[in-house]
Amino acid sequence: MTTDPTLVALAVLSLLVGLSMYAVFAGADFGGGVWDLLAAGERKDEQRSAIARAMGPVWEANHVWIIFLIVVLFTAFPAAFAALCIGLFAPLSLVLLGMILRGGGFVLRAHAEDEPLVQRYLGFVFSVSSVITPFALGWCAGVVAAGALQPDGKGGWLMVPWSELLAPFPIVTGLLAVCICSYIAATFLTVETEGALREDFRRRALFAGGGVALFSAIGLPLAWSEAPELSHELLMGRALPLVVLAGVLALLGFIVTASGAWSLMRPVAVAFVLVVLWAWGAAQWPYAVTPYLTFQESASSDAMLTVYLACLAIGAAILVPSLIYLFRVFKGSHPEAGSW
Amino acid sequence: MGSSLAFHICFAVLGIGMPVLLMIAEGLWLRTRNDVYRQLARTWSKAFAVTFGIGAISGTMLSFELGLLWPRFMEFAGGIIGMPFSLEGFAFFIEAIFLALYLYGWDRLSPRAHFLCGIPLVLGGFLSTFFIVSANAWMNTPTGFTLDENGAITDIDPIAAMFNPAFPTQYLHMLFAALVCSGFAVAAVYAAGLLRGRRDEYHRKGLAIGLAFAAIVLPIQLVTGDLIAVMVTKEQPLKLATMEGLYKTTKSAPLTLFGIPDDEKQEVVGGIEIPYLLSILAYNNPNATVQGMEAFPEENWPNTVLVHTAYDVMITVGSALMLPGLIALYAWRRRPHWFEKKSFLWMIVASGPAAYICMESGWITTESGRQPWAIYNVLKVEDSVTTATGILGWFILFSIVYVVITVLMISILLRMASKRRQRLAAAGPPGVVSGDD
Ligand code: HDD
Ligand code: HEM
Ligand code: HEM
Repeated sequence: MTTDPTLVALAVLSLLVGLSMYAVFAGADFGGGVWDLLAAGERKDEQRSAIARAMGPVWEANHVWIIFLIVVLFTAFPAAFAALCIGLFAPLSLVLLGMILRGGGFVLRAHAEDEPLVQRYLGFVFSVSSVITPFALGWCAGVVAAGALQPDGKGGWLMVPWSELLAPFPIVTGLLAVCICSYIAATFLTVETEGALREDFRRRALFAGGGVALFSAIGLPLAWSEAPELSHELLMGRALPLVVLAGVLALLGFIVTASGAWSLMRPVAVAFVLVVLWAWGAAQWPYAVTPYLTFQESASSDAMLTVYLACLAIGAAILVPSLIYLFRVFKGSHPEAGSW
Repeated sequence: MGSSLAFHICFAVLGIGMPVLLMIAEGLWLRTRNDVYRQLARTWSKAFAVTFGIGAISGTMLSFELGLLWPRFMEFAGGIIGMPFSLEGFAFFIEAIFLALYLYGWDRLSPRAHFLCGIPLVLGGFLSTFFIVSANAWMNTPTGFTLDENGAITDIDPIAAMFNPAFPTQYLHMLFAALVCSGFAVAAVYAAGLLRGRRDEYHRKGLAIGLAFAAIVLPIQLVTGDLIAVMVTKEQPLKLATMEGLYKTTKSAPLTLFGIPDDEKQEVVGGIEIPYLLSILAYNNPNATVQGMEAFPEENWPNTVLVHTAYDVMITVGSALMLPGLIALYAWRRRPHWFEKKSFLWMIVASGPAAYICMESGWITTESGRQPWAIYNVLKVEDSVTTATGILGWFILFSIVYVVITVLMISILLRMASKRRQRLAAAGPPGVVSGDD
């Protein structure tokens, strides 16, 4: 029994949309943690509180996107879900640990105002885990693209050995993910701050953008030898137009950030991240686990996908207006701190 | 997985119940304009923000664990019962979005708009329970698919799987359990405050709302308890027999309270028998015959001692919880001074943890009573676990994280309360202070 390919494609599309939302919104929250860790200079405290203010009302809603991705993956592609969970046990545990410590550190820190020491300590937990989590997610993506997750020949999957986990390409994709998050975060923060603080974040956006460029430059040649399927599609196949577009957007991003064209920074950054993500998605298609398992092979039944897609449409009709309302209330430019 | 769930559910019940209590307090404020109600709602919303945050991360943990610990279970079940999990994602979104609006919106939204944000918040909590309990009920009464002779799954019907036979009763019972737990938890906090001599309007009203709420929903909860027992009798007779410690198939079966089931002797040692009650509970008929464990192969018996004890704790503690409500009802008009009595306040303090104990033992009954099956009569636990290695270290690490987070959270909640008191003390007589909390 094979599942209808159109349904499969639609379900993958919904995953990619969810991933895009997660990358942009939660990515900015993780990046906020990175800048919390790297807060420096005379406005160190102002930087930290600007970050906390920006994240406060929205981080939980942004976090739900990862839950969405998980549940959709095991609803629509249960076999792929099982493969990833077994093979990537170690890196996924790190993702999980990072998410717990990040959320716990952030929530608890916000309420420990009168205990500077505890607050400093929790802030450290929050910021370090904000670096670890996107790193581990990028790392997982790199491991899968490298084809390191392999079947055991008895219908199950092998855990990816450390030698493969620690190969250069997955490490570089992890670092790239951290830089991308930092870049979006710094860009978003320029919209929510003013004066010298804004200047701080603009410089940070440039710096993070440099990191993105650096790790892309290292990653592409590494992919050539370690992740041939991916790099073939990226550089010579169907993802090439998107890769070119990403390059153009990167350049544009550099220009608008360097020149302080505030109103353009955010749209360009968002477009850049989305294009990078979709380029990766296009290059990885049709595999859920490169090159052993396709989305088609791992899909649920027609009945399940049909019901799922129908519910997705209904759910989106409720979700989208609610999200817009949330961001309208809290994310105009220069929002005041919401009072508790 | 069990310990993560037991941890998560403590926060989840607040996620279901607190929005309702918040709306009650804020509604009372809008009606009476008595500022104490507003203070209560604001304080609760802040505390709720913390417990919700911890609930969200423990829930995240669960979604990952489903995959990391039970990948083969999910591979089997995901394609059948994934639906409610996906829908639950939407419920979480709604709850997270409107919690943010509620929490940070006190001064940004009009009082009316703010109050109305409570409605989706309540619905979000109720819906997430709806979906997750549907998934759990399916493990008890799996429907919506057929297994062909090779063990392959065919004819999947996600809707039928979602609305499986155990689902309606299990949902209602869980929903009301959450409301009961939240009500008693709130009442217990303010009773403790009163006991410490904080005898002001703020604490009295906090206690009154919590206790009245719990006392109203508890009887409904007990009725759903009877319904769920009838359902288990029909769908999982072995589980029922284990819960009751009933080894032999018996006509006009008595209810055995306490005692320790002994599988060798096939009897409950030291139990108290209440004649006919089991037949009445299970079939609403004193002469009905109830199947005993002997009717089922012994290798499929769950842990009899654990299941029987957990069940007894739930029903005895659950029934005992009626007491504070009944006393309060009696004292309301005739003996108002009882509300100042230390013994009564202590009883209310105890009812908070008692409600939680009830709820946890209910879950132990349900989950352990299903052993050795992960999916009843379909998939055994041993066939669902991961083949990955290194689980033990993982388990220890995450247990430590739980403990640290819990300790920190409790100390921060206590600190929040004491800070509020300091501010009140600085600002004037208790109960009349308004303003930013
Ligand atoms: C405040 C909590 C609370 C209280 C007072 C009660 N229960 Fe309960 N019970 C739960 C909280 C709970 C629970 C934790 O919420 C469970 C676990 C699974 C579920 O859906 O509800 C549960 C499960 C559960 C089950 C097992 C269902 C299964 O295995 O599928 C039965 C038979 C009962 N309950 C029966 C009762 C009876 C007869 C009660 C009356 C005295 C009672 N419960 C009070
Ligand atoms: C016993 C049944 C359960 C109930 C009644 C329940 C209910 C809830 C509720 C009301 C919330 C809102 C957050 C809060 O108040 O803390 C929540 C959060 C969450 N639950 Fe559960 N839950 C249950 C079991 C599970 C299971 C088995 C999973 C794993 C798949 C899960 C995953 C989650 C997640 C991921 C969140 C966080 C959502 C967010 O980020 O806001 N829950 N749960
Ligand atoms: C919050 C209440 C819950 C508690 C305290 C709880 C507790 C437990 C316990 C003690 C076990 C047995 C663990 C073992 O044998 O190793 C278990 C198993 C399991 N539970 Fe629950 N559970 C709860 C709710 C749920 C819900 C809502 C779901 C799913 C929607 C769920 C899914 C599972 C799964 C998949 C297993 C593994 C299979 C099995 O052992 O039967 N549980 N749980």
